[in-house]
Amino acid sequence: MLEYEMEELVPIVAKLTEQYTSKESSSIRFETARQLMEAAIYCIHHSEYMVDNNEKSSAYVMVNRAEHLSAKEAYEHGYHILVEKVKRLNVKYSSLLSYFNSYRNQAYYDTIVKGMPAFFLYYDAKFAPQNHILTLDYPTLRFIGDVQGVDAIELYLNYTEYEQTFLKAFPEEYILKTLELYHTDYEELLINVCSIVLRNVLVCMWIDKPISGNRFTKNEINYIQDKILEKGQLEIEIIIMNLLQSLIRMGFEDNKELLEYLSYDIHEFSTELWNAAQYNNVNILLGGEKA
Amino acid sequence: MDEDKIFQYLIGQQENNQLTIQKQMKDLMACNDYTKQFGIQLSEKEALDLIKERRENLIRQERIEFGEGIITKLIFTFCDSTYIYQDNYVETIQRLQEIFYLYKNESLDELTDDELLEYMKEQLDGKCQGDLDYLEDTALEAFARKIRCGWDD
Repeated sequence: MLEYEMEELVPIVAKLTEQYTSKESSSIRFETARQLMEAAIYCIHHSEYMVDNNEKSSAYVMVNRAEHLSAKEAYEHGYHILVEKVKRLNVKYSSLLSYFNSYRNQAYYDTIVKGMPAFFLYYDAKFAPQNHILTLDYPTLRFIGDVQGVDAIELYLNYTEYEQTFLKAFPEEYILKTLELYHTDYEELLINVCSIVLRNVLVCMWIDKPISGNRFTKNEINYIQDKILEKGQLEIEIIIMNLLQSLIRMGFEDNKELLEYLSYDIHEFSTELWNAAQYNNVNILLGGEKA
Repeated sequence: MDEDKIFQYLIGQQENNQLTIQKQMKDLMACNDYTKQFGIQLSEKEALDLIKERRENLIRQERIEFGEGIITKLIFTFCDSTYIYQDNYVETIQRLQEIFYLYKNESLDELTDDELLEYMKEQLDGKCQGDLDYLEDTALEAFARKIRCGWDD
């Protein structure tokens, strides 16, 4: 991580202030100064990255720069990297939109199709690059956490890409039936579409049932419940993880990034299965036949 | 990089930087060349008092200033006012400085320095008839409210 003396950072913030006020104001409020200071630091952090010019990848790789950059040079370099990153992200987003399917879930649609363009319209790489503007309401399997600015959007779009890659491998009719089975009002709920489908696929794999979107039979539910209680939570988690790995190996060309992303749901799923089995609620969790 | 530390340093910069104080003193004393035609001048002690008052005002109003600041502009704007003379010169500039920073905040930074100074001068010499309390509590208060509501005439 690049470290600079305070004296090196102040002129950058002063210059930004001048630009922010168009030289028409000699002073700014503390909040504005803080925002501009964070903007300078955000750009300086980005100077640690170089664009990987490999055409197959749009990754940014961290490099140890042989020569030491001054704070001003680091800021300008970082700002340039940032602007290029936003442009590449825009291309990635356009590509994602060409195959994106929200499966009628309103939050998914609103976040990706309606909300995301606002980022590219209003993102302020100069005076507030740390602000990614959007609330990103649709819940991904892995949370963005403290990541800010264009990095947060990049992560979020990566996660969306993984989900869409997974989902488009299945017939749309199956996905819609599975979501309907989960909840009749799934279209209005703030749920992760990928998780619901993934869980259904994994359970079907476990009991060797073809995916169909139909309810699990009573016998199937009883079988699953008995197995869960017999194996215990830890072993169930291992079983499900193994099923996920097989699925990715056989159906997704062993895509490691996709596997890593989807595996974030496994612990929570196995915990829910364990709890459901203990309280005889597996039928409700998995959408079994109604009594 | 600890962002809080950097931010405190930014605020501290406008308090303690000796070079900045010396330059400001020089700039303020240079104003006398212009203001003496109106019968008003600053002594070195008065200039230093203005600089100290500036620092305190900025902290009170939670603002940061880079560069030379607003005092010289204030002096050039108001030195020809009929309501300012040698006896009340320093006190008036101090008060105008305080009012200036207050109303930069109250107008949500929607006004440029020149716009605010122009309005203050116009009001002080006009409706307020030199009354700084009236300028602060009535004239500027009404103006800032209009600015906050989006009035741009």
